[in-house]
Amino acid sequence: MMELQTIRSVVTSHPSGDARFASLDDTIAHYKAEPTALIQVLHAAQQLFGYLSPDVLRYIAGKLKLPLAQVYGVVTFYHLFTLVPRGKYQIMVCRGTACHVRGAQLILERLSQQLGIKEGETTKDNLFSLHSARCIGACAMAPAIAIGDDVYGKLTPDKVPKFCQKDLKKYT
Amino acid sequence: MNATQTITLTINGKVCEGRAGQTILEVATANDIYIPTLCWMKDRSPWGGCRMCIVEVAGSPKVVPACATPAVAGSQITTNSPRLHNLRRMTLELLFSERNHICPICPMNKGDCGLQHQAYLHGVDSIRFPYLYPALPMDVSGRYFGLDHNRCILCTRCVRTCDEIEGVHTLDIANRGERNLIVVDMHATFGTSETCTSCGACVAACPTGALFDKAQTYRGKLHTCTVVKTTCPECPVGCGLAVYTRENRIVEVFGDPESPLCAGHLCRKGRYETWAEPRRRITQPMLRHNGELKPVSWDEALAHIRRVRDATPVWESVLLASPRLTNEAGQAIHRVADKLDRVGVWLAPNEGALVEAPEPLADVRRQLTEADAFILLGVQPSRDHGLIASYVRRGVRQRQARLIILNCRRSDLDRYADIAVREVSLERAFWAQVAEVLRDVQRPVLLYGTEAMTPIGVAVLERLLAVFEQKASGEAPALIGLPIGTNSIGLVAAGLEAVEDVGSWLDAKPVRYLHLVLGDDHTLGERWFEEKYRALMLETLDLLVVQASYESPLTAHAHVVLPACTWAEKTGTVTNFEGRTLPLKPVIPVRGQARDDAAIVEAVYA
Ligand code: SF4
Ligand code: SF4
Ligand code: SF4
Ligand code: FES
Ligand code: FES
Repeated sequence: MMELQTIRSVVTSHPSGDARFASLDDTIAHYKAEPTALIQVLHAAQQLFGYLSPDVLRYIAGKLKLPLAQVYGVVTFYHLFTLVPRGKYQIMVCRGTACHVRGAQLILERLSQQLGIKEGETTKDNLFSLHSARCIGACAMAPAIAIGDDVYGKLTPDKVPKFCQKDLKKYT
Repeated sequence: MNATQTITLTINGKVCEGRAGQTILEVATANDIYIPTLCWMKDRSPWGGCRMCIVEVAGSPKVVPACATPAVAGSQITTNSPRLHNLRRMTLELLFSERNHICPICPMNKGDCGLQHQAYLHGVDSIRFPYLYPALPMDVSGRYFGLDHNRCILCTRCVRTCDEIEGVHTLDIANRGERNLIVVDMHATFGTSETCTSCGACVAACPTGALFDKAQTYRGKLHTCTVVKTTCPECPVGCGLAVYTRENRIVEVFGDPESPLCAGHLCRKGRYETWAEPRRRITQPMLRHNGELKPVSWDEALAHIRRVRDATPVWESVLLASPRLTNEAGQAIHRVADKLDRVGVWLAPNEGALVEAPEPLADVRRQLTEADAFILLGVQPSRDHGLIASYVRRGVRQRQARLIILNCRRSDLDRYADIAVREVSLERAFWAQVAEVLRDVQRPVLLYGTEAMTPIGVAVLERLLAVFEQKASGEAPALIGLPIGTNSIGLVAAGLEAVEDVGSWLDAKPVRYLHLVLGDDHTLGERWFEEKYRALMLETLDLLVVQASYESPLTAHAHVVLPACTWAEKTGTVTNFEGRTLPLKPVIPVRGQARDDAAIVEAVYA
């Protein structure tokens, strides 16, 4: 029996047969599997899969012939990339100076308590994930949080439970 | 600019000569001017990250890192000034404040640590910044070494060493800014890494106590050890070892920077298996009495062997040696061969043809460092000749050398291959592909091993050479044969019979007296019992003499056990794959009553 892998010329796709990998292969082929295209390929993968799982990263490293550690280093360098699935909606708690001095930390803690997730995690129903951000440009409303384009301001820790029961219900 | 062109510049008022293309640091060092460094390391690409090596260049307001700045002809450089001293001191204080550098409880304390050394040089007696001390994890999952992130100064010496010397790139820096952390693969540990070869080069490169060898930790300062240079006993590459000892114990083993092939780098076997594995040492002769091995004197043991030998005809007496023995032990065995029916050396399957009078090789280092293609045929460098595997990885990853792997087992090298085939077919289409990959290759190297000596292997080799003959340009491949046994070549040359199949060798005629000369072989004792001769041995022998340094299932079954010196205790030579004769030098005194293999053989057959 002959087992032939002419790795640089024959393209073998991911064994799962997941169509998203075929699409990723197209991107990789577009960049001729050049290692210098790593960022573009990672970007495409995140668009396809929503996040960069170890499986996806290992696949990309193999295709671009890059060391795992190097790929991981790049992924963790850019805030744009995420290693864990993000919720459908991302709750961004502002931690810019204005919000910070008005108790952003307490808002974050209260939200975390209410949603049952820590910063960086995603709710079980995959709806929300909790993050913090630098100034989101709503200092007048500090402390502020943003969900997509929606900004909620002048929060206090005590308003958080009501916010979760009412405002968050709009997101499905 | 011509790389050999001489340039002149002034450093600290002294006129210095250098070559175009050299860095300021290189020119200064060549002119005996010291510039402090931390992240710089010889034979690694410059990083320019720690800023210890900053210097002033006349006419420029900025200071520049000497390790990463090319020397410019005519420039005037200052390497020490109050300003530089203050900046360096501040850099050091920042490093100390960042993580845990409480020296008294660090294994690198008192003279081995690059960071501490610089702190002394710059009079850092207090830190003006608040300590951050984030609680960082420690990875002690590796067999031989650990990583304490709390001591890491993110100099990337380990990262560059792993990438550029071992050629693997297991390590990198994850995250950004103050959350930077050295990472193994994709946040694995050394114990679970998919890529780390445990070569320990990163540990040797680390200037602080972040990466540390477990067996060396808290055994005292390295720089006050006795250092003896000898030869690695683990494979036929024969890398040079620099062995550090204190109070007659081995404290650390590094590669010898002056050794021509390894240039200071080693594989896991040389760096750790030589000394950092727990093995039970045999230190006195033992004789089986009422079913149990009991310590006896050399005289008693030898007298007992003589009594049995006197009652055993020569034609029923054989001696089998490990391929790790020295040439001198091989010659001693050959001298007493007439007192035995057969004397053999236990080789790997198909190794015989590879070690019988091979042509000496010349210029191997140049061939390996300049190759633009590697073809591996029936050889397992990652497993058997770690240093050679690092040359292959470097070639492929740094010089984009082609890599064709034929009839080899799976290994990490497959990942870099253009073609990797377990069992080659002799079809035309396949060879057309091989020819295509090799089309523009100018300086190919063909590494072949025991599996190239089978009939199929030889057929493949012929087809391969035919491909090269038909090529329009390029040199014929440099042929490098790699045996498995450390000194298989030397022992066969000394006149020992090449034995590939011990079972049938022993079965060929009745054997009643068997002398196994294992020396410090730490695998044969186990291997013996994996194979089929076990029953034969124990049932039919009148006397089984096992001469060994370490306890094994085999010594446990012997009638007589004779304690042999280890590589670290003996004097002698081995012949490596190039045909070079390399010296083994005693590093520590002989343990207990152990004796040199050659002396034991002489005494037994006197
Ligand atoms: S031990 Fe060798 S392979 Fe493993 S991380 Fe260190 S340098 Fe790399
Ligand atoms: S582990 Fe050692 S060599 Fe690696 S970056 Fe940290 S201090 Fe430098
Ligand atoms: S390659 Fe061989 S000689 Fe070199 S360190 Fe490894 S085992 Fe020893
Ligand atoms: S600081 Fe929070 S919006 Fe600007
Ligand atoms: S030694 Fe030059 S920047 Fe580190």
